[in-house]
Amino acid sequence: MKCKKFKEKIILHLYGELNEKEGAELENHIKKCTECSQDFLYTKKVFKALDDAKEEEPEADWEKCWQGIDTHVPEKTRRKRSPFLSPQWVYAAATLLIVFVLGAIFGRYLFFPAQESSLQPVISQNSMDLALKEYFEEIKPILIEYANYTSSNGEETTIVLDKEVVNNLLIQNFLLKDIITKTNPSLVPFMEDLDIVLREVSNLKRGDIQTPSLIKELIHEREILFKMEILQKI
Amino acid sequence: MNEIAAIKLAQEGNKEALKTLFEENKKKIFSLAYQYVKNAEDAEDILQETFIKVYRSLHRFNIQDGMSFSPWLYRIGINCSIDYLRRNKRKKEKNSGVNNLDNISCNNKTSDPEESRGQKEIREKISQSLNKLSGQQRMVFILRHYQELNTKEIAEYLNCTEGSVKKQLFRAVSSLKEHLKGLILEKSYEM
Repeated sequence: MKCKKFKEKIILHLYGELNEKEGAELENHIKKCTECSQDFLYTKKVFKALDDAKEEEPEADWEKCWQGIDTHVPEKTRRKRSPFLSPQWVYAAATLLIVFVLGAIFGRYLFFPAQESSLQPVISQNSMDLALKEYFEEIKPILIEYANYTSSNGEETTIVLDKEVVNNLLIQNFLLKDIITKTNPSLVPFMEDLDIVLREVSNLKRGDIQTPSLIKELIHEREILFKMEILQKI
Repeated sequence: MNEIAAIKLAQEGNKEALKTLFEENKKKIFSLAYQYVKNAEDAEDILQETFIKVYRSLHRFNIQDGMSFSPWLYRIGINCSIDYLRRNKRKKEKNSGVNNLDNISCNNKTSDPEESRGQKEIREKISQSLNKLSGQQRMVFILRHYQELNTKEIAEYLNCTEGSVKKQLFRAVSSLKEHLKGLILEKSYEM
């Protein structure tokens, strides 16, 4: 074993983290190796110096600390998670949709290879409409949460979302967009708007209160909910 | 109020229950934060951030799954400390000299002026050396040396492998050894 490994073990030995065998191995090496022996003595000195220089911890102002916490936590006002955002429902719906879309794509190549070069749509218009409607149903509660986001009244609202749920929605968006490009290109800009919103939501970090406001603006500016409402009715 | 009852009530939004949890754990989190940032006011800020996060994340804490509150809280405290220092690093670097010297003079217990000066120098060097470490390395060293957790526990708290903890500990101690070289060799520390 090289001396570097033993130097690592010296530190672990001084913290009492080596077993009997490792400890004996280290001691044998130290007896033979001048460099490691010196390193062992010096590390021991450093540990002693660290312990001697240990500071007495000051007493905190506990009352001030509690008041700081107290002002930031509202009593019994935690927002309840929307039942529509329950991960198991969204996972199930997302999986179904992905299976459906992938099935349609592979089915086309398996059963209708001759039509490959034609510009005929892979999925019937009705199936596509259904898939889109299901997708809108899934994404709508999230958009509504952000469209109603408020942080100015002092009570910071927290939108609890599972990252995997958002990522699943992004994948669905990608797949749907791919089909829509061929079947209904006029919808592509709308799907791209949804893609931007989802990406912002997916990249959101904890404690970030600016991005939710930007997402809210984006939803309002591009009239995403309004357009979605119309598309669902058509 | 026992801990489980306090957790359940705090999950429902009861502030008194949260205060009970705060009272029971405040010293442990403050100590960790103080060792990490070496400044009482910053440690108080970290303590507050930790409990605000605890309150907001309590719905994810599942008593039925046999989760233990103390390690869960400790993990939040560790993350808050690392995040806090990362956020305030530039500010800290600017003021580090002044703050460290302030702390040193305030907390010095020894009456011998010669010894006092020596410890002051060593503390300053330790502080400088710790400042040069990455957040993770610094936390590993503090958890091992001052909080006296073993490498396996540290790995669990930091969500990494034990091997990685050992490597980071080696780097942190090596850096300290390098920085303290002149001082330690000048002084004859008894073995």
